[in-house]
Amino acid sequence: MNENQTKDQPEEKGTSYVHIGGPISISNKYLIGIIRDVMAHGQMFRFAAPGFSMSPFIRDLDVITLAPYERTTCRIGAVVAFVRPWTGQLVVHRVIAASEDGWRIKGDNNPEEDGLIPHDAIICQVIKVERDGKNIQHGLGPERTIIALLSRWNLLSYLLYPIVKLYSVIRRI
Amino acid sequence: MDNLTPESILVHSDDIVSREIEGELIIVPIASGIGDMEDELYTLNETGRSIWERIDGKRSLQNITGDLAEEYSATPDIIMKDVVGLAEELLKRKILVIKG
Repeated sequence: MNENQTKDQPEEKGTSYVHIGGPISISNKYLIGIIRDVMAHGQMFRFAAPGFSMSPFIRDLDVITLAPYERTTCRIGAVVAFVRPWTGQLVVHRVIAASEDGWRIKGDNNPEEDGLIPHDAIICQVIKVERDGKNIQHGLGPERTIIALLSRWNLLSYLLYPIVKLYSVIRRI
Repeated sequence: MDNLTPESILVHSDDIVSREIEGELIIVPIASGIGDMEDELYTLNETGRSIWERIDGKRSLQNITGDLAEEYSATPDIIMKDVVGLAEELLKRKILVIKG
């Protein structure tokens, strides 16, 4: 979840003064700016997040809704959007452990942790995931704590992929 | 929609976020508490942007017209047509609101 937005430009409409468009190509840097602005208004933000690092709970171009981050209510298992301090990239990954100086964060599908991310680098929290117009329930509910612990102990992929594979076989049958 | 007059003073709505991105002004409306990149976004052309930047909740449309006519050495009548055209468009979309 850290690549630039790469969606096609939509057909333009509007008037001679205003162009109206749907999703646009926008670099990570500017997306961070817009998200920060919206969060500063205390509002939510919805966009299609590219990347595979949170698969299978958040897949490439799933539409995620972000809400302002509150340090006091954030818990292990929450999925947060933060700016990676050493690259300036926007990343959407899961909190797997707490520390006084920040959170330890990791992508569900990543073998390595992102490291300790300071509280002030975290912009917002994922509150909803949509895929093909449907809400995806798994990954943000009460099970998120177990997912976080399994991810922390690097057991998530061992346990999850056989289940996902079995599920896809059952669906095919 | 409220009627616009040359004396109307407009202000940017609180329900939008605007940001300059690679030379273009992008406006993200916030509907029902959500700024939605998957929904409609607005960009202004150069004329629209010049007008947008002068809409500050203090200057009337007439003042803005005078300012632009001076800057671009153009006839105020033509500029006023553009100013009102943009204002009507953005009022309709609730991106601008009439002050007071």
